[in-house]
Amino acid sequence: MSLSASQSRAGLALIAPASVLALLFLIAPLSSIFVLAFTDYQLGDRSLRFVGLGNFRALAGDSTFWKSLSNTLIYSAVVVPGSMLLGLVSALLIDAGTSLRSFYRTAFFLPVMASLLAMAVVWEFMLHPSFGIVNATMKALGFAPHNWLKDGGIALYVLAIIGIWQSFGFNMVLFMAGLSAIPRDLYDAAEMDGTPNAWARFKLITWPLLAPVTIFVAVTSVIRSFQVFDTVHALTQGGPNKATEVLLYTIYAEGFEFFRSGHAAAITIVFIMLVVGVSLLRFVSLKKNGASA
Amino acid sequence: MAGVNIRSVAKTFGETQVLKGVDLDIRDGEFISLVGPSGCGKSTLLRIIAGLEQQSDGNILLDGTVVDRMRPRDRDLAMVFQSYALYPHLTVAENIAVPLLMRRLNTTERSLVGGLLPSGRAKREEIAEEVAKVCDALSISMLKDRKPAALSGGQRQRVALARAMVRKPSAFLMDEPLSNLDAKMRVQARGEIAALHRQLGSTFIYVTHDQAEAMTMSDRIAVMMGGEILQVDTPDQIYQMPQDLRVAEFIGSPKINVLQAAMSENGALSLTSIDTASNPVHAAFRPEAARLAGEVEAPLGGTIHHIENLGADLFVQVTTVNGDLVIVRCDPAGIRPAIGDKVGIRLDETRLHVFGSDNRRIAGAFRLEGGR
Repeated sequence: MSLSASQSRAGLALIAPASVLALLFLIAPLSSIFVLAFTDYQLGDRSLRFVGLGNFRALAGDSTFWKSLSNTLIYSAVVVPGSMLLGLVSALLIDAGTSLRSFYRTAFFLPVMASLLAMAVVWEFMLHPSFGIVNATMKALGFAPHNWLKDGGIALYVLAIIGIWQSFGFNMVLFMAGLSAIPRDLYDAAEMDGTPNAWARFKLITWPLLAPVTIFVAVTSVIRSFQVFDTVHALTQGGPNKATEVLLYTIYAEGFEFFRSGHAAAITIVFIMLVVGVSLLRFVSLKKNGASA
Repeated sequence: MAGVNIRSVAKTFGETQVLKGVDLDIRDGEFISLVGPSGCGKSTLLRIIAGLEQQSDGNILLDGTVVDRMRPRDRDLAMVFQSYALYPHLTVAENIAVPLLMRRLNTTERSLVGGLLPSGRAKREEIAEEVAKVCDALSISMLKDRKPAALSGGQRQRVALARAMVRKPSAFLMDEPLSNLDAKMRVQARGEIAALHRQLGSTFIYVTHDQAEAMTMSDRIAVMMGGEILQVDTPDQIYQMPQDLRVAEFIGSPKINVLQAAMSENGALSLTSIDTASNPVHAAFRPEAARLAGEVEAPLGGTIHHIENLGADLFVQVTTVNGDLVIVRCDPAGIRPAIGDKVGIRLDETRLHVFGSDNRRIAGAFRLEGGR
């Protein structure tokens, strides 16, 4: 089908605002990051010099970067399954219950809406080694108190738990939407067909029919967990001794504390590659599902 | 094989009473239809029999045993749903196998490693054989590896039927299984389900809002309205001897003609001078119990308003002098009336039904007064 000249002019005029905005706020910054990653630019410098792959070579030998990358992956490996499982279980419980559904939904979704930075302050109080409620509870129950955020062995996991608390409500809402799309009749049919218990019904109907939602939740959870920054910045600043150094925090520190913009841009490229890689996984799995259905 | 006894079953949802104490005895091997307009409680009653819904009061007996507290799994019934409720992610064969897998395999055998256990494998092979047999019986073998999304409505309906049949349950519950089919398929499926019933000899409880389905397939029909059963009888009796005006109006197409009438002490009915009536009643007659006649001598007269020609029958709609609409069946081979003709209507008095103001049938022979 060919368009008349006036139609194509109108089309161009209609996509122009969006294209200009995308160019200005998405493509331009992204390309400048790509350019910067190959220079020795420092924030405030008047000149820059291309160094080729120099920044990436430096990264390869930089223990902070590797620590940061592995911390991010560990954080992700805890938060993603944790927040997905908790989100699914709470969605199933709310879906099965009859009363107070909207209350639970709102309550569990609250951390998602709240400013994580403000919430981090609350967590800091709760985790305070001497007067925090967490240690008080531990003591009352007869366990040894911990210096939660200053102990290099557990600080990252404490942040991961805060991450789960913060993000499972979002997954819950997505799972609930997925659950509401499953026809009730199927559960009646399964009941007639003799499924012995709720677990069998879950395996027969809920889990397979939630698969597309689960894939979506997994991918968004991974990407969101890669983006952890607020809690690190507010609670640990990457410490103690880089135990909670994560990619986004390293980028921030390199770029805005040490002003090594080229270096920061190189880490950003690695970060973008990770996110794009995960998104591609989702794309591939969606295509596979689409082909088989 | 099982008879089903329903003993004063009531159901309330909050304030609304959906079933008002229903009694019904369904004989072993019988094909019974629960028919009524939407919202009459027929589906709720079926779901209570199935165990998917708990009655507020009363008992359900299967084969003489009270099953009120029994889960659907333990009642040995199978159900075909209006939506068919096929598992969309499973193939046809897998769908049909589910009832057998769920009952014969234990948790370990059903799990992923279950396929490796010799006991699980033997059972699975046995199940696959039975599934194949049922598929053959319903001639859906060529669909076995398809997903429900790739099936037509009629094919889905057969798969749903196969899933119900495969376990050889003692009774089949069917919740409007044909309402999603087109008119042609529905007639064909009607015949197939009736044939299936004759072949299996099991009890069929069939819920429908379509009186034609109920009439054509059932041994007996239970007409439900407003949470009550109005009449349980054979299709012939329901059609020819409706015990309630609402039954008469619901069964039959086109609808039975209902006119206000005045009944005098001696049983004479007047269809015209109803204003002065001491005892107002409803007189009802089916289109085939009336015929067109000359204008003068008939007890009822009017103007032809519309003619529906169905080929085999002509249904002539006459607006009477009182403004009522009366439908008269005519033989298309005879003299064709024309729209606008002034005609009289003669009635076969032996096929005249009279209902009191409480909608109940008034028994007896009636004589129509001619005068106009």
